[in-house]
Amino acid sequence: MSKFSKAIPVIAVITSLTALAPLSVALAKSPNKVDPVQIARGAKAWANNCGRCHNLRSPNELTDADWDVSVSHMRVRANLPGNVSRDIKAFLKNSN
Amino acid sequence: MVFESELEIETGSDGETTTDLEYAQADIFLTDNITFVFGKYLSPIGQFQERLHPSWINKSISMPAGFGHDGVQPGSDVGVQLRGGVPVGGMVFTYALAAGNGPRLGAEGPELEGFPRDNNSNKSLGGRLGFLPLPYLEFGASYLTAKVNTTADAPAVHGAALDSGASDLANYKLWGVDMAFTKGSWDVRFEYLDSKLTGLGAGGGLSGLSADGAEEGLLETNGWWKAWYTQAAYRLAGITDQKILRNFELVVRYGKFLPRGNDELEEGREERFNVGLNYWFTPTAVLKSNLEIRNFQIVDIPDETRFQFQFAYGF
Repeated sequence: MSKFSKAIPVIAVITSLTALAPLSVALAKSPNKVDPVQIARGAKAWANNCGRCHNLRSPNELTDADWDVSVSHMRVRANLPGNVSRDIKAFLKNSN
Repeated sequence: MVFESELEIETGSDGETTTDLEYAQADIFLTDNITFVFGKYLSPIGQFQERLHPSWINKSISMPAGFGHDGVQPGSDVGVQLRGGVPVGGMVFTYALAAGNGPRLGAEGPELEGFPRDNNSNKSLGGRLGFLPLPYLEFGASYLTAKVNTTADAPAVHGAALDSGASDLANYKLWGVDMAFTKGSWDVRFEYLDSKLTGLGAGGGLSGLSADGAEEGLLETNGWWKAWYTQAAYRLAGITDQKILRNFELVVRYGKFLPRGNDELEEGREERFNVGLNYWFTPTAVLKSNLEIRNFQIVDIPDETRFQFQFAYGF
């Protein structure tokens, strides 16, 4: 058996693992089950509250982790009720 | 729980750089409607100081007359707050109740700048109540009460009778109202603050204890400070979809700062008019141009007219 034919199984394994990697990452990043009702509430709350002092910021501006911090800060600054800030977070993280 | 802080780095006209801790606070979310805050926090009085002063949010370049440092607007305090929002039907009520170390007396009146130590064991109490009958309409009312040491860092001697009959603790009270309308391309605001310092006595000075105070240049007379402004901003996106023109914003602001008490205080009386044109590259990046006219109401002080430009970016 040639060296090349011996390498085929190894190449096949490496190729398979490489092909599966994006899928495994995608599965690991799968968000918690999305609640469309909460997303809709969040979109409305975002439009109603997040432009009261500064311009509305696009959901694409920040990552999920950044939105967690930013919305928590705004919950204090704008005195947002907790349920409203959770809805806004859900909307922003679903939309970025 | 959230910990947040802001550092201000400023270069003065003399080229010197100063660094200040604007605030450093911990926020603990107790319930959906109650947040406990402790640390050094921006004063919850009114709207401008806590929400509108950052340069990428302030539609103009300078502060309104009487707001910012050395004005009526309290800057920051060290203490605790309870705050939050309570929805009632389609409306929202907000509150922020604060207790802190309170103000100290400066040359031009009480200064509320987040002093780490309380120099008179009397806490400032105050806060703001807000009401949003509609998402784009907000009304607020603020109040603050505190005692102020009338001599520099001298421990307060309660009930001490002095020659002038004035107490070593003066009374400081502030109240204010504010309003905001933010719908579509419009941003319209109004804010009024009124504060009084009483108990210093008309004659000023406190014999027996005044030496330190006089050397420190502290205010020695009662005082009354009023400041208000009204502002309207309109984003051209309301009348055009053209991709460049829609990012322009017109701003007009008018306000007054009216201190009363002695001749030196009254030199600060001014009316201030600003008209500006802003260009928003992104929601948080803006190039501002502004014409500012300051009319000082004491004849000997010349009026000022200046053009200003500023680029601001918000993180």
